[in-house]
Amino acid sequence: MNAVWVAGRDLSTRWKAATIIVAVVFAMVLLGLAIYKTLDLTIYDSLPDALRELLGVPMGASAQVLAYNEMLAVMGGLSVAGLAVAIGADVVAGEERSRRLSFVLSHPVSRLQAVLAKAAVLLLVLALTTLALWGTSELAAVILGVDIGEAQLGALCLALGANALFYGSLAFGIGAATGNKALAGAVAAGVLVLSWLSAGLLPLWPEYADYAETMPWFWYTDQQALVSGIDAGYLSLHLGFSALFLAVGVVAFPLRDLKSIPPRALLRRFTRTRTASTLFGVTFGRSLTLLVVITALMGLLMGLSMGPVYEAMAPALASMMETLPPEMMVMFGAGDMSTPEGFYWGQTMGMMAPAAVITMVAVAAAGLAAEERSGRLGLLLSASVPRAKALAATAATMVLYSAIVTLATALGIWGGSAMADMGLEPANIFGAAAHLFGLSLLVGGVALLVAAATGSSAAATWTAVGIGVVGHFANAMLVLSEDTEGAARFSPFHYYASAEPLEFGVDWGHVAILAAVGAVAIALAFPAFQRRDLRV
Amino acid sequence: MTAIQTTGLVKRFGKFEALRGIDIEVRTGEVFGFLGPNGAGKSTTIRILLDEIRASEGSASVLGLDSRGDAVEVHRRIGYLPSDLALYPKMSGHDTLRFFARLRGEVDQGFVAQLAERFAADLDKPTGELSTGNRQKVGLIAAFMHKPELLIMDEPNAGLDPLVQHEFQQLIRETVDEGRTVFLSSHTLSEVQRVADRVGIIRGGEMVAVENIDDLRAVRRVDLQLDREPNPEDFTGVDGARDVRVVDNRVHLAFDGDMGILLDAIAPHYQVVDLSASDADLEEVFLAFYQDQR
Repeated sequence: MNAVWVAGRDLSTRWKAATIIVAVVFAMVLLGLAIYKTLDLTIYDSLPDALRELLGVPMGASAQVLAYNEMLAVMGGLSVAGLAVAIGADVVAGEERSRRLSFVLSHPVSRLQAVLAKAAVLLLVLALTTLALWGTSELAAVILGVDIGEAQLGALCLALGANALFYGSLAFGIGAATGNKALAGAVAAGVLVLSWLSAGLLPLWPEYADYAETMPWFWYTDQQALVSGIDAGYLSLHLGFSALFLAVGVVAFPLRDLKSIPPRALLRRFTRTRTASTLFGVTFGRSLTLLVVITALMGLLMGLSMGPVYEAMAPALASMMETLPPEMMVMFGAGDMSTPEGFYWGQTMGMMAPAAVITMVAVAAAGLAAEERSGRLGLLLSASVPRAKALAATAATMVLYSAIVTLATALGIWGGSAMADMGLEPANIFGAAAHLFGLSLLVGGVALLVAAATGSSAAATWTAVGIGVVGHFANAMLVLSEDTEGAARFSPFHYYASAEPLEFGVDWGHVAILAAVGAVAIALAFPAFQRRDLRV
Repeated sequence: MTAIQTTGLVKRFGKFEALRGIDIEVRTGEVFGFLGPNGAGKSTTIRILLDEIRASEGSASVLGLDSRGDAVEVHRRIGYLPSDLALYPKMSGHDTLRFFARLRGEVDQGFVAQLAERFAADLDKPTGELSTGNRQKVGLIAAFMHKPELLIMDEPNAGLDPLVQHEFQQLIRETVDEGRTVFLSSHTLSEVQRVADRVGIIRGGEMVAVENIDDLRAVRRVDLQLDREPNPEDFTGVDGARDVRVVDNRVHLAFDGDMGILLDAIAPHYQVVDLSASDADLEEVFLAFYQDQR
């Protein structure tokens, strides 16, 4: 019975994030379906059923169902997988680090009961989220009168949930076995990103196409659940590995010592720099490990290595582009992947680079609120440090984090292009980087304003993630229809991407709009932070 | 039956040895003060008793049960207040206590209300909005509310005002009067001296003394002026002598025993020129225990 109380208490704190995701995905599915309704989709009518199915349109369904692929399968899939990683990493290791778990365990609750309750929370939240996504996606079709034909929304949601469970269980297993939340989150998120990228790229690369089958995201996408229903083999793989990871956590947790102090930072030596003796140094050093990992990821993997990848895949990409009408690629939110610019935009700059800089600015902004809640900010302010200076240090950290990741991405693309002789213009590469930096200023500025005004790190993080996810997908959808194209101007991603800076060079007007909104938000953060009571 | 018994408790964290063979015996119905400077190994010992971490060597039993094998039963019968109490910040004091009461099974809500009144605890606000002292009150109620056979408390007075501290000490006395046991860990003597029957002193992962508080109060501060500069070893070997310091021809020491024994022990070596003795300040005695032996 005690396990039920522990699970119940955990659920009471986890449902909010899941509810927000379901609500956002529902809104985006509605938006997507509404936009697709305004499009001329007659091109699909001329295609044979087999090709229609290959493109993701189920038998008897209208082509508007494609909106589910973008909004539910991709955006919903990534969001729920991210939620699963966050819960998996936090539910044991995070609670342990905060010392709450050890206090609960000083009551008559066995370690096994506790860890089983935590595993049940992960499973239950994902199951309920999956069910809610299924219900709301069916509802969206009813509301807008879209004929979904034989589209299997339930199967898609089940595959989506099983896929998310894989990453969540991985984070859970590592967190429960080690007590290290950062490690659990980083490994599971790393596997998620790598698997998502590989599932898209490897099948286009004849020599390595078979390796795609080892990727959990590929198991999710390859079954085309919306059209073909659940593939029992892939579902078994997801669930089997999830069960294994959960079992590792459940077995390992009762056997080890509980952690009472935070685990050593991976780059502990590196963080002991002289700058740590200054306010800015301390603020900057807070997320140095994450900064180094993301910088390396963007510079080396997403930047430098994509050049040789393109070189190897160019023929396959060219033939793929020949078989698909360009209108259809636009409909999928992708450009011409056969050109160097289109490839780098599709793989690196389109989604990954914004995700990377938004992660860093969100971490920096949320750090201010986290310091406030922990009481360390109060201590700092008591040492004659003005509030404005503390906020300025955070803003400077945010800007520098973003600048470093942006620069690494640009240098990586430059190097990759040079290595593979792709011929990208350096001016355009750094022009695109200026757009990326502007986008990060906007998102970071607003997140900082929220952190300064509310003192809530959750609110700051959700603001940044919300602008990133909703902004990206809304922009991709809105531009598809002439009726809604104008509304895309409300998304920051319009100013980031619409000028196609990697191909046509920087649009300083757009960069200025992004930077100006960011600067205004940062400026507003100062009075907001100055006037309110600190939440200690 | 002993409430707590540890034998040869050793805990290593990598190469660092946090506990080096700790033997503790806490008798049923007493208040045992567990004292030591920061980093001495107090919390590590408690975390082993609570099965948060496992001993590298040795064993620990609580209420006659194995602290590891019978952990759940041990936890059912004890009350615990950690030094770094972490509660759920969005739950109110009431909800927090209700949650922990559910885990315990049987808790007299009337007694909870009584405790809340005695500690003047605000149970309506989210615990995240409470001051350290008010949060500590919630932790104290959670530790006492099920009338446990044994209370293990780590720095329980943190943030409490003098009135609440007084109420807490009263409650401790009432607890032992009912035959229950209290294990009170602290790094400050003042926190335990008013309530403890015995104290154990830990330093550098080793128990350096276990004393009755009354015996410690009997310790006197002795200053001797001798005919020549003495060798400290002539004094450290005398039963009851500790904290020996030599300055020129003078010796300052803490002494627990008959003065005649001390004078007889040094008579073959030195001639006493002057002598003064006074009741030692308890704090001084403890400081002497805390200092590294050189």
